[in-house]
Amino acid sequence: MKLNNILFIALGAALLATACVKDEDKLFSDSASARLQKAMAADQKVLVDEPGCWLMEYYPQKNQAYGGYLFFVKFTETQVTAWGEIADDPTDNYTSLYKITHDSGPVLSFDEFNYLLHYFSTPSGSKMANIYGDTGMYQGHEGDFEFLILKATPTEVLLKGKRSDCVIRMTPYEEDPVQYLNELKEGRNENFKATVQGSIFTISAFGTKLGNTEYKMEMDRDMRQLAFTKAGAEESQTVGFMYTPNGIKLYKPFEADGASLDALEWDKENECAKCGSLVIENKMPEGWIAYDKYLGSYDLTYNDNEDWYVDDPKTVTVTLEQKVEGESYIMKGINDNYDVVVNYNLASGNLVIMGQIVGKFGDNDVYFAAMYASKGTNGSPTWTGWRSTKYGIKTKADPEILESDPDHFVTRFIAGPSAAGKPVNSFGLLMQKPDGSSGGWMRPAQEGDETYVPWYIFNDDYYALFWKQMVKK
Amino acid sequence: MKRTLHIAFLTSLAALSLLSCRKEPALSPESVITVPTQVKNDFDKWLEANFMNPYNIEFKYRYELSETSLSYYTIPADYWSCVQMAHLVKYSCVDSYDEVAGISFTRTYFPKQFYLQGEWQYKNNGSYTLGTAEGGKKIFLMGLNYLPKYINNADDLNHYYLKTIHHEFTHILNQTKDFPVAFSKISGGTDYPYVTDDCFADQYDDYLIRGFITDYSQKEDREDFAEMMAMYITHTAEWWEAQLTAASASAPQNSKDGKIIGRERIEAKLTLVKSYMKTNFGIDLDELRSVVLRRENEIVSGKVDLKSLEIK
Repeated sequence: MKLNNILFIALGAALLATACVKDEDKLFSDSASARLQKAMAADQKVLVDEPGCWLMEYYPQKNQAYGGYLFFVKFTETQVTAWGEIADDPTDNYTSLYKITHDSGPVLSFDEFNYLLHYFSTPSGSKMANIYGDTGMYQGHEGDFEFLILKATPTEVLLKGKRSDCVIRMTPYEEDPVQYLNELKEGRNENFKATVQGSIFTISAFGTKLGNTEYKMEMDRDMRQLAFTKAGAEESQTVGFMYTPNGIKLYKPFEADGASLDALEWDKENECAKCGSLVIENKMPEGWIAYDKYLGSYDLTYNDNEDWYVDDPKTVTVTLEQKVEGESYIMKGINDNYDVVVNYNLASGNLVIMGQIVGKFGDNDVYFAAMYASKGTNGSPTWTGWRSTKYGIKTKADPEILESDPDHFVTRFIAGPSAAGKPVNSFGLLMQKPDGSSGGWMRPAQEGDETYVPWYIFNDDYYALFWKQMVKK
Repeated sequence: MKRTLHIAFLTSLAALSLLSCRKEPALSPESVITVPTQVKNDFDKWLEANFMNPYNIEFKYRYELSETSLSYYTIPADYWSCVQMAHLVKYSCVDSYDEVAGISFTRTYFPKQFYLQGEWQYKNNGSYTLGTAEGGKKIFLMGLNYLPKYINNADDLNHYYLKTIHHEFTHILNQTKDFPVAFSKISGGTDYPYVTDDCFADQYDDYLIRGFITDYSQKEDREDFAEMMAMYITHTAEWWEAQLTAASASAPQNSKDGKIIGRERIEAKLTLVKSYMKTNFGIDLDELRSVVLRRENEIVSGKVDLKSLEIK
């Protein structure tokens, strides 16, 4: 046989063999369309049949960047009634129409405006405030009001935001939603408060061990984010959360080293957070130093004012003594004629020195004034609104030195803001006359005028520029 | 030869194999396309009685993604704002045209679909859209959730909502009967012509003295025509005269001969708009204006119950 013939027969046979294959059996007895209608009806029945409310864990924005918010929703055949933690008054509720429709599957659509449910999707113009008073958000909060129904059972409904893809969980809630919202409000204000140095302090950082790995967690209470940082790592992973009456609940569990954390429950009695069997300790913010630790002597460095446009650091010794425990200190060593009050900030565990009146010279008030000096320019530092006591500088401790040698920490001055838009980085001594007008710099008047001996700062000159740091002795 | 035979045989075999399959079962009598059924509420019934049945106008007030512009973040409109807007459209627009031109005019020309949305369409540069019209058929009204804020002020109602309806309706009339070429020529020359997309630019905010009734008018001739008509019938004679006075305050900037032209041009355009409406549709624009204003006044002064869903 010729190869041609063999090929010919083989080809013919192949054609015949494929010629009659039976139709495949239908996988479903109904059409796709009919099944979708059934699913929509069944899903709606689940929503409507719940005798209580549905507790809705709502997250807007594809990365849950605003965290989560709680709504309660209750469905009738045509309408939905909503309560929510965004309402000013927990008893406020709003009723609107809704529908079950379909895209690639059943969809729940809040298709009539509801003051609570559409808050996160309402946009605003750059200058034109929307009805909530928001401006500059042409995307709103990127929240959804149309959801794919992923699952609908009497014990749990899972929705997926059509725009954000956020998974929104609803569970039945048989009790009074208003009471829950009141408890939630109270919990949001009262949880995570602990006694630190005799004062009430809101804990926003925690440490825990997941598996064998140490993690630090930092809580952004406004944006509702919990950032996890592995010990020694620079980068952190952030998970959105929502408040609960007992603490917070994460959008999804944070998993590491075989362990997972999905919520923090606040134990009021022991003033600590809990999550199952995990041990969670309260942490203070980075660089936080207790009030008592600040008491003592320091080497304070500033720039010598003789040639202040040249970098010429000068170090003097000052001492912090208690003024009001937990609140303020007196800084001694600046001048024999006056002391300066230094404030303690419990939340960040740092020091704040504000412009202040330090005494009277004759009839004049003497101001230890918050001032701005710019580097490389010869001349006097400029006012930053010196009669005001609203401006000043604060400190931030070097976290590494603090950890390696907690008794001899270094804390650096950070320039503070002022009304003039200039950062406060220096202090000068100025006088104000009884009539409110300026008495000028506190310096010797004319040559040979011995009517007064000026006070000076650090017994040197009438201003001290570029405050740098304090090193604990 | 043999090769040809082979090919012929294989072809017929292939053809046979196509025919040999079993017949498809009969088509299902049920359509796979389903129309969502919703329980009709009182407003739905009112709309049916006042828009759908008499005019074949569909008034959509519930959110439908496919009706919106996907370029914007949009939200649904508030129910009671929609109820009031439906009354506004009916009482101040539809009924006005019925009264002046007869119901068959309204039935023939008035847009067939309204879609209502809660917010304006904000662009990321901060500007926003008040409303649009599509293909002479659909009018897209926005910012419904602000209606409670504007409902008691005729100027606001006109600016944010009603003027848009008259403006878009004018376009529809123009698509049916072209407006006169003479109209396009008034501002179509080389001095102070239309400025296209720069119409809202600061440099062109002296539109009146250049012969345009609004800033948007100076975009192009068809918008000019629609603005002339919409502004005329939604404003009083005093307001109109005030605009003309302002238009004749001075010659336009960079005028070569220093000639004042604003008033003259706007008046020339108005004459053509009036004759266009009279000739083509038998509508006296002054009569239409007095009817529209009377009806708007009745709305603002609270004489019309905008929330009643009683079907008369």
